[in-house]
Amino acid sequence: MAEITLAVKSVLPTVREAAFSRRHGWALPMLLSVGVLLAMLASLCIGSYPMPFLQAARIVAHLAWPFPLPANPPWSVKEQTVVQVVRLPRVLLATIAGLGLGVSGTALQGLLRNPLVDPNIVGVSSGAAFGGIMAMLWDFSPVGIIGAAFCGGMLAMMLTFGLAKLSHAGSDSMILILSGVFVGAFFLSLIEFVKFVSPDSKLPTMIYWLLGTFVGADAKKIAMIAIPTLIATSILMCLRWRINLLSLGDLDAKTLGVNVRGLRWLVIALVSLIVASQVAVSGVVAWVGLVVPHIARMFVGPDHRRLLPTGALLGALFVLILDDIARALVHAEVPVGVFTALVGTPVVCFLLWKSQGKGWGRE
Amino acid sequence: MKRSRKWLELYWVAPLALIALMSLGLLRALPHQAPPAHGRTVTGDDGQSVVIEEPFRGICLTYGFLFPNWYLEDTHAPDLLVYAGTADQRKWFSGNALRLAYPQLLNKESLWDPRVFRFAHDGYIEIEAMMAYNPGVYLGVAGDYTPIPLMRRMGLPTLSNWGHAKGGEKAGLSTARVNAALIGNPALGDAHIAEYWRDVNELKQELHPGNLTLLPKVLLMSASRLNRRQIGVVGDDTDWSNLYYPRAGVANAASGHQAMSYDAERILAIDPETIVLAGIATGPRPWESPQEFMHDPRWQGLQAVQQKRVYRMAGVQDWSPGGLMFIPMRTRWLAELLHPELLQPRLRQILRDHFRNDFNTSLTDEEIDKQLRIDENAGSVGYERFTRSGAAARNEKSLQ
Repeated sequence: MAEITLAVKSVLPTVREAAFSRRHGWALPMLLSVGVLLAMLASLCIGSYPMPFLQAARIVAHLAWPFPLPANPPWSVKEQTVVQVVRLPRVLLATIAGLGLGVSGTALQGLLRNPLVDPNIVGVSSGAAFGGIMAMLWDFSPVGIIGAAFCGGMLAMMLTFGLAKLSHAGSDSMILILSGVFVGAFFLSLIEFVKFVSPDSKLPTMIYWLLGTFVGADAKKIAMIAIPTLIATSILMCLRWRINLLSLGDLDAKTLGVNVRGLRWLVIALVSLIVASQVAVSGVVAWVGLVVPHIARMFVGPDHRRLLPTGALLGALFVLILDDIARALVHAEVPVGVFTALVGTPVVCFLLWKSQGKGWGRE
Repeated sequence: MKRSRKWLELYWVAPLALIALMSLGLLRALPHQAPPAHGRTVTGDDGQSVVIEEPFRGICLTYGFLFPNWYLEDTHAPDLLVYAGTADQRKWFSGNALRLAYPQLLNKESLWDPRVFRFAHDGYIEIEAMMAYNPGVYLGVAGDYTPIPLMRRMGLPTLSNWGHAKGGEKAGLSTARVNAALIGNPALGDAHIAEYWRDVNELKQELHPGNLTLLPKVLLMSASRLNRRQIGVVGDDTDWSNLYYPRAGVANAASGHQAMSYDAERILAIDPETIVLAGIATGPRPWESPQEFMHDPRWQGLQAVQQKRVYRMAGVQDWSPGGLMFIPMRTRWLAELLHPELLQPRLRQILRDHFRNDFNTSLTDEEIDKQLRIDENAGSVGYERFTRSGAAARNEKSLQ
């Protein structure tokens, strides 16, 4: 079976591109880092309580600075509580979730050499959602919910790979995706069943959680998502050279001395950890892992050394802006997962049109 | 690769480290709010006290549709409210009996702000919008799913009310005390409680529910006009309605049952002697009226339908269920309905007296008719005793 390829030309950049990337490749991610920081500070100014940009920046800088706060700060007690208790947790949650989803989608697309892959398609999100919803049904603690979501995500991923292996085509990404679709559908039906048997009192919370939301962010939730996401993202960043080699194909990667099987499972485990923690804290935020890698690839090309950080930062920016829209535009808060799907679908359609289908089908 | 370029490749560390530092910043202790220089201490129903600054800047009600009503019933102090509720709560209040006593509240725009209450899967309070009011005290219910714990963490003056751990009557009594203390008039709370017990005891002496040998089975329920699956049953032991049953000399036909999607067949199996319908027939979620219920093919086998003993609950929208003024009134309504031979039809007069004495408001006959749901219950057996002419005729007969 012919394989779906990742990009128009090759996964590896041309000599000219490589030279450009070596000299200036860090510039865009650096600019994006500044953009994410500015977007976070700007998001802190959105809300009913008036908060000037500089004041928000000053409060956050002092909170993040690892030294005691000034005895007589130039801000009011109310301003600090608004930032520290209400706005910063939500902004951080949106940023970390977006960052995690961006990096997960980029890593998975590179790993499986397929532009249609995202954590939803390979079943991790559905599995994590099932784990989370079961934990909610059985009144688990928040830590229990994240644990159950993680186990569900890992189980789904193992089932996907197991199914692909059973068909004696473990390395064929098309089979892997098909297996993911089947496993995802299976977990989705389980979710529907759980929703059906859930008591009325729990059902609205479950449904809203499944749609994806950052409502109710607090320090505990931030700890739940930040620790696994930042650690797993850091490891993925350290592995981005190897993911480059893996995206050449298993045989080439093996020839170049990469432990293909070990690396694949490590990346999958890290992605599952990120997605499971994200789903556990804020429900299923769809499309980010699919859309963001495409946009990132348009900016920096297929080299994962640049693509992975760009994907992560673009993901953070994408989700943060959509969450700002979700909480600022309408009175009744639209779940951010609905917004990401509403925005993500036209973006993917636009990219499909822009690339004239190149790199999306068989070559 | 040059050493400097190697370091440059670690550029991804910067945003992650920044996010980690910001996350750690959340763990810092919150700033301390200085206590007011001049204030008085009020204790909420959860035992936690708050120092309220003087001069008093008013009250913000944080959560719940019934809060304006309970507050007004207990305090008669509408001027102290700086925030009463959302646009939906305003709409709800506009159908409530207390609007007759305090019509000015409905016209005061600043009291009803839709920004404060937002909807996600459930409603939640936009703390920031609430903070902008800067009242003397925020009033709400303590609990994990309410904004009170967060507001307390933020150092805002917050008092818990309406959430007495034992619920029911205890909550109503404690609420009256807290509300009265809040407006600086503790004696008013004691007066309301005394009035409540007087009403309860009057009915007890007239009815003697303990001597009744046969307690009619009553089912409090609702059936949606739009969705046939939506059949609500209110029989839980913690519900307000359980205060009414023993004092009205009736039995709860669905004791221990409470659901919004109840099985229609189970209603047929319960087969109560009398059905009391909660909910109203209009609005976004309309419920069946007694007439519609009695013509619904699903319920034709019920003895209550065959004997036309299906009623819309009196004051279903007008009277708050846990208000100290309305608990005895609704109990009386149920008792008069189920034991007409033992009680004089005095409900109209009691309602009129309460509004005149408590709120200095004279109710017209039309207003009383609306609260007692005379139109909706016109086709149900024995309801004429609650009408103007019926009550007068019965009273004349008893005098003769």
